[in-house]
Amino acid sequence: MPEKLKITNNIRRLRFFADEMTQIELASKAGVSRQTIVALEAGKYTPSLELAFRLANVFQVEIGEVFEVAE
Amino acid sequence: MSYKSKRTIASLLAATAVAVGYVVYALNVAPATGDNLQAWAIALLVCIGASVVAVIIIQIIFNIVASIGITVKEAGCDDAKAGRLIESTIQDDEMDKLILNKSNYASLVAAGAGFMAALTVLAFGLSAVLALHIIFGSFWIGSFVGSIVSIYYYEAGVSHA
Repeated sequence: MPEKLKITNNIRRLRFFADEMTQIELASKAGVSRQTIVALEAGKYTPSLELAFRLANVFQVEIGEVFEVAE
Repeated sequence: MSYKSKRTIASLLAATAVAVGYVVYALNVAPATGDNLQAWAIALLVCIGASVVAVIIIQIIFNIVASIGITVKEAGCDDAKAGRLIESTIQDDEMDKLILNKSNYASLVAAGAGFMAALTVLAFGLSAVLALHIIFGSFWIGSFVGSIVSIYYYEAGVSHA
């Protein structure tokens, strides 16, 4: 079985640069609950590929700028 | 602790209260009812119905209390923002579905083990009433285990991988 990847994200930083977008605004735009955004920022949730793309679309960046594989 | 964890605990407490009520009832009527399978089946059906109603009522009350709590906590904000916050807190999404899948699997394993235990009881020629209660108990344990699994994933985190 391949080693499990540790995926990190830059959502908190991207929210800051998006005019300090609130978690509720991001949740609403991405179509998820605020708790999911909280869990994502805390590194407690790895989203589906679809949600990952939706988050990237909200920030209008490439998906690789939102999610990274930790070394 | 998150809203979803608290909601799960509220449902768990409601189901537990009804199950305890059933156990108290069963212990009192068992000597009179004996091995009358029909009477036990009716009692269990009533208990399951009561459990469903109790969980629904508790969920409604919990949602009202949670909404009031959010509104009070965000006292400085306008009604529209409070409404968005409540909606965003209560809304179910893909993370909830993922956790539900995992908790349902845990529940199924527990209920399946109980069903096998009930069949074993029957295979050894023991009472059908005992087998019925093992099945009922295993479903309740399955529900309990599922709730614990849900709370664990809400608090510890979950991954699609």
